Amino acid sequence: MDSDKIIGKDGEMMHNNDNLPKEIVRLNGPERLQHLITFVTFFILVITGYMLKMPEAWILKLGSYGTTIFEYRGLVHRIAGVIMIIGGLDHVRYCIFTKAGRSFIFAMIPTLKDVTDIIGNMAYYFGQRPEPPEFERFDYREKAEYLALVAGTIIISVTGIFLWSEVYWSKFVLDLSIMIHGMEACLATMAIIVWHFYQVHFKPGQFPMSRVWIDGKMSNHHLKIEHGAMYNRLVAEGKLAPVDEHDHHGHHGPKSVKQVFVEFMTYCSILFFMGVMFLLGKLLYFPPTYSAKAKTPSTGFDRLIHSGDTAKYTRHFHNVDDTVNLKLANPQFCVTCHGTLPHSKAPDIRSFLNMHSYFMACEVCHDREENFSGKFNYVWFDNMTDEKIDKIEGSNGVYGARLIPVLVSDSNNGNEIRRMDEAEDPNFIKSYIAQKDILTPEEQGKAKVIIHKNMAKKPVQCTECHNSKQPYIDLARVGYPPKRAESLYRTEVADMINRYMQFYLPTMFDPDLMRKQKMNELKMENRSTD
Amino acid sequence: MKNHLSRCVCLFLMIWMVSTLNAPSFIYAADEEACSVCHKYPGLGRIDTQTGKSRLFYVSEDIYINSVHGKVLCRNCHLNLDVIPHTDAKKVDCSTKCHLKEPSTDKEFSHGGIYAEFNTSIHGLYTPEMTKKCTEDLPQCTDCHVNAVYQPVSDLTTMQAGISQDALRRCLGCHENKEWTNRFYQHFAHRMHRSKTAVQTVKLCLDCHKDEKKMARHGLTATSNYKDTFHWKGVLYGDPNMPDCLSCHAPVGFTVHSMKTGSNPGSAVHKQNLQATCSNLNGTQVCHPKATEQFATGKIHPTGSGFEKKVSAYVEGEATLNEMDSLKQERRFRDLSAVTSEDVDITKLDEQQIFQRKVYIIVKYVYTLLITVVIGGMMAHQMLDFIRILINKSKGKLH
Repeated sequence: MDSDKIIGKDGEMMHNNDNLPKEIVRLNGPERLQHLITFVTFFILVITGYMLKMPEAWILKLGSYGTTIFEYRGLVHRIAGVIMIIGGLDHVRYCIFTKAGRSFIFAMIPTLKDVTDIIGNMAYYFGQRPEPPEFERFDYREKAEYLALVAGTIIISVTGIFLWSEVYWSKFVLDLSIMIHGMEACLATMAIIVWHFYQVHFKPGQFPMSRVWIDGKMSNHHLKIEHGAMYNRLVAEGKLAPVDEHDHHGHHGPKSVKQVFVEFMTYCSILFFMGVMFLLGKLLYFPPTYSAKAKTPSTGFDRLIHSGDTAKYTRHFHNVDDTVNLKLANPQFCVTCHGTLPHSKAPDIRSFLNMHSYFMACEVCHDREENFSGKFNYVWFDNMTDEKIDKIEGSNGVYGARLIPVLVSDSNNGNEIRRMDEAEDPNFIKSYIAQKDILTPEEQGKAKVIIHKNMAKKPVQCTECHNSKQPYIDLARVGYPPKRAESLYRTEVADMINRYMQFYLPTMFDPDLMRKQKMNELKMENRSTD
Repeated sequence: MKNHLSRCVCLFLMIWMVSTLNAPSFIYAADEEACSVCHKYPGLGRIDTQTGKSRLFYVSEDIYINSVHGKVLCRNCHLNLDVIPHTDAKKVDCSTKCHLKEPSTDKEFSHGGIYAEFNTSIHGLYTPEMTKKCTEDLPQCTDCHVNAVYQPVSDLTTMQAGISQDALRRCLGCHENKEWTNRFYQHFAHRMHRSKTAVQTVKLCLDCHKDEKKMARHGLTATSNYKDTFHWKGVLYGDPNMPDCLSCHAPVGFTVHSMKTGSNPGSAVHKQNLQATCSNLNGTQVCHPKATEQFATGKIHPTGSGFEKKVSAYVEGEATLNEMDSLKQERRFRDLSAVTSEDVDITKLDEQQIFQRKVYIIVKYVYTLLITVVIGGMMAHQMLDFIRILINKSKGKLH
């Protein structure tokens, strides 16, 4: 056992118990270096390797850095892989050509004692014996881990080399290699977390971390607990001081800040590695699938909802921009039920009507002043903050604000009573929406009548606003720039409407007339007018 | 009707005059019909009561003017816009002639040629020689193409976006019309690179090709494994050298509009062409320049879900060889391609490939089982260890 040289005070063998060393060298310099190389390359390889298995959303978040990261990912993975392989070959050399290495590898060979140790240790765990078996220099856990490391390194190196020299292999070899490479990586990472980290890191007694990998030393006290057989042997040979039972082990008294910090970090790392285990398990048992069954919305209503999704907009041939998605911070009940494109009945004008809902509330046309005790003030409210706005900015109806009537009392002080787009009885509407499905059609109808009771029988017609003689709303006063108001009354818009009414569609902007005309047409064609 | 038409023309003129009176000093060439009087409003649209789809009639002037069709008048594509509302407007047909003169031939330009080529391809609707089923599944022009906004590059080596003022300066030396010259520059520079990113291309193709039902209707299996490949990961990270669908299925020498089935020698992924496709010696992307013949064999997309299920079932002894045969029968491309006697069923696996698939699946299952047993055992062991330590502590036993 040359690697376990005993450290005396003067570097000499001592026979007096007081002068015998109290700790052994468990890992010598070369071994610690080998561990360090394996440790560092392993983590680099795991990180750069699993970057290919990261959830897609995480990768997309990298944005323009992704290209560079991807480029270096491959390079770093290969460099680390080569260093790991060289480290492995060096370990083989160490085990064959050095004395310490030979003693290391002989101590690692599984023996019959390991089998009895496993059984004995299990018996100890299940309370069948008071003490665990006494282990030699390497217990069965360490031997199993070492053998797994050797096997894993060989498998992952060979498959890695196959993948690196891909052009010389067939698709089958490469498919197999990439699968085994990933599977072995998964096994190794999980084993390191569950097996190795628990043993040297999280386990009570080792917590927060065993320092053997740093200074290589292990105290006689520790050795006695974990490797009893070796301890007994060394003490019997007079190479190690026996444990002084009166000696205090562990730390007493208040913990230093550094200690608290290290323990805190260790708890964090436990959480982190539990997360890693979860992700790896998910990858292994529930890998993401990329083929899909066609989703068919179940009801007509669902279909209607689905059709409004943004995916449809982005595929529009004319690249419609984001303004088609009317954004309201607090959409009123009208919008939540009827949507932002509510009009569909009058085929000739429905699109024109829908256009207005992007810059005015439904109540502008569907509520009439005479049905309320008070006057309407038409005010712009910001779509996101719901604050009043004096002057609108923007064009083409994209003002970031909508015109909303506000009811004010008739008296001189003109107190504001309420915004007309806010429901008088929101709780009634909420409970209606919640219970809609269990109501009978008759009940639904009644509820709808109550909800819409204030709506004007005949909504405000196009020409009521778009005329220069007596416009329904004073658009200039409301906040439109004078030129724009003028065009709405007289020129661009109003003119178009006028001409249409004269030349082409006398009924176009009057739903009542239009309906009558349609009815006549249907009667002419002997079709049902229901 | 004639009366109607003349009224309408009259009307259009009036609107145009009216709008130009108030319009800002510049007039967009494309909107000389004053369509934007109405179509500039984002809210102009409706929900189609029959299909439930939203129909948006908004056209952003800024976007349109900077798009590849920016010089084309609305009515050149949207025929029959005689009345308002446009009740008798025809659905746009991309193969119509669009009244622009194509400078190389001095004839009216048309997408008709490429449309005809497309129709003979695997994605095409039909040709007199072959008919297809479920034509509603097949892609139309606008399923892949939108009115692309110009994305010029300023530098061919770095492919940096923008306009090279230095190059433009030289053009302007002779071509004094700045607007025209600028547009001409963009016309070329836009085509120096793909206007869709690789991620967008993959998404576009997969929109249909991942849909199991749609693929099954045409005897195909859904593409389920591309996103498991290294190729896709690179694309996802944004590496410009990594291949999307078109890098392999329409490399240099092949065009996306004449995509053929894999068993057709005209396909880039046909056995004979595969090595050249993998090595991609003529392309800008560096792929596998040293690809050996052996490397370029095997199935890239072997794992249609149905297929894998059947194979794994077969491995597990649940399916008989007869069922394997019936599986092969299902996946014929007869309906989609002009099958000649030389054509082979491209999904057909030979004995060796079936053996390889079996090995692959067995190794995968064995490894998964191994991981489960090993890691599960380790967890149980450590749990026991931890519990024992806790019990000892509670009993006041040190260690």
